[in-house]
Amino acid sequence: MDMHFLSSLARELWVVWLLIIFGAIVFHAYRKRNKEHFADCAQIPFREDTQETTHHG
Amino acid sequence: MSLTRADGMPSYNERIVRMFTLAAMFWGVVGFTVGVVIAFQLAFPALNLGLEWTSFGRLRPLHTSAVIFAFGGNVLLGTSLYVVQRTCRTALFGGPLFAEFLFWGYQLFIVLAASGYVLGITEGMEYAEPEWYTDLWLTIVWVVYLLIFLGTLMKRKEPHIYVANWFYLAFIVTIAMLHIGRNLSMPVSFFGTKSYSLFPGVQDAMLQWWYGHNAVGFFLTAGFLAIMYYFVPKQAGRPVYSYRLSIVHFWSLIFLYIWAGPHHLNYTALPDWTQSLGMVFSVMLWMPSWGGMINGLMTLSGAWDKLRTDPILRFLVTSVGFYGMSTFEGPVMSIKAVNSLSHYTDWTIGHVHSGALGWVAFVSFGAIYYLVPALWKRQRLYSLRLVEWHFWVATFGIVLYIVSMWISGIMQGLMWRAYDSLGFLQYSFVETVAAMHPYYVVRGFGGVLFLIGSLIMTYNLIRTIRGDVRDERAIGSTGAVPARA
Repeated sequence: MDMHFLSSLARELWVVWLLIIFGAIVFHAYRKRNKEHFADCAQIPFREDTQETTHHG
Repeated sequence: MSLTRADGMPSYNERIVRMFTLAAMFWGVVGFTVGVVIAFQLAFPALNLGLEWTSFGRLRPLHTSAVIFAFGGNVLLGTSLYVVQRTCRTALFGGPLFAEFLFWGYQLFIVLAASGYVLGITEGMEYAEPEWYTDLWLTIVWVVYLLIFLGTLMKRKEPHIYVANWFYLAFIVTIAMLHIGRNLSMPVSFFGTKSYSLFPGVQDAMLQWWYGHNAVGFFLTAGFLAIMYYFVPKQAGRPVYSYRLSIVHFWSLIFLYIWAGPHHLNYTALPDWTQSLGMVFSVMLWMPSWGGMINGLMTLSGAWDKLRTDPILRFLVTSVGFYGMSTFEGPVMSIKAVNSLSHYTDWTIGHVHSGALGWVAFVSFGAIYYLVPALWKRQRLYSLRLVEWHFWVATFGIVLYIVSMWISGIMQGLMWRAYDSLGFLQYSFVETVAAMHPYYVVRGFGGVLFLIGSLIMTYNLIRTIRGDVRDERAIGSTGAVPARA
């Protein structure tokens, strides 16, 4: 089992890697900790003409 | 050059957005007009006029490019530069010089492409017809666009990149990739216009529909979803229903769309597994499409009454409804069993137009109606009654269009596969053509209504820009209620 074999195996499993990345994105989006942050992001279109800059956690 | 105004606000480049908005209005009317002409050419072939320059084969790419790249493109470029400045709270990267180059460079691309079609200069690849010299020019223009957009994102004052900008960036980057990939070709001579694709046979066909379907996915979908994510909340006065869903919407769309192209080549020389792969990914696209639609529609949750009183919002929300409808129909048609009936028929044309007229054009109209008073600093549009008229005339036109094409297309597909008792084909091809004639007339009439709607819009917007405000009451109101602002 050399590196060549490992790399071709890793490439053949591309669907698995993409699924893992996608799962991580969903986790990130729906994590309870991020709820406030994303609710705040949704307000960005309504902040355009003001000077205040809010810092997100 | 100072980038901030006296009051400390960033000085946004709105002049360039005004130019793109005017260009979109102009090319929209041109593109819809050519569409009506070719629709009637199909019903009445004498309208080809017997001239090569006005024949259907040359005007058809003129129509598709005018509505997609000239109308849709100017809407996308204009709104993206408006949205990216405001959601990043910073002026455009590269200043007015880059922006002006982008505008005039893009209009030159349109003129180069359109003049080529009429003169018979074409690569003959659907939606990628421009020849190599036009392709090279667009590549330069597009790189400048990417620089402006990325540069503006990088110097943003807002820490988070708003979701609309993600969709715009995906549109810009993917179109660059598709444009370069599809147009890899070898010119026959240095001063000649003719070139040939680098790819042979079925590879070329696969590359064509990788390009073609992702032009739908990233030009006509991702770009206009960006418009939805900014202008629906703005017009409704409430944030998007779920920002978290918008993140999942974005990434699932990006992961899936790029694989759906092979469904254009079902039952061709393309390997069978590739066709099935394209079909499966097309069916999976249901999820992001409907997730996005729900996100757009539910933004109105608790404010549905605004649909009754605000015709601009009605354009935007109806467009999202059409988006849901056409992205339901698309995966159905990609299923091989259905595709064996629908492929090569008018059903496909009807499907494309429910997306193009109902989704792309309606969301664009909504954005333009929002933008013009904002950009020219007018209190409101000249007339909201005219927006109502535009809405209903155009909607009726779309219904005529897609219903006639459903009937015509399914009939055509059934006639092609009909056998008699001896196993012979029941109908000759010309019999199917004759059977479609009445539906072609209805479709052309639907197109006329849609064109009339766009002329009503143009008139309304010109009066708005001139600073006129029509003294009017809302349609259906009884008392002395002033028109809605």
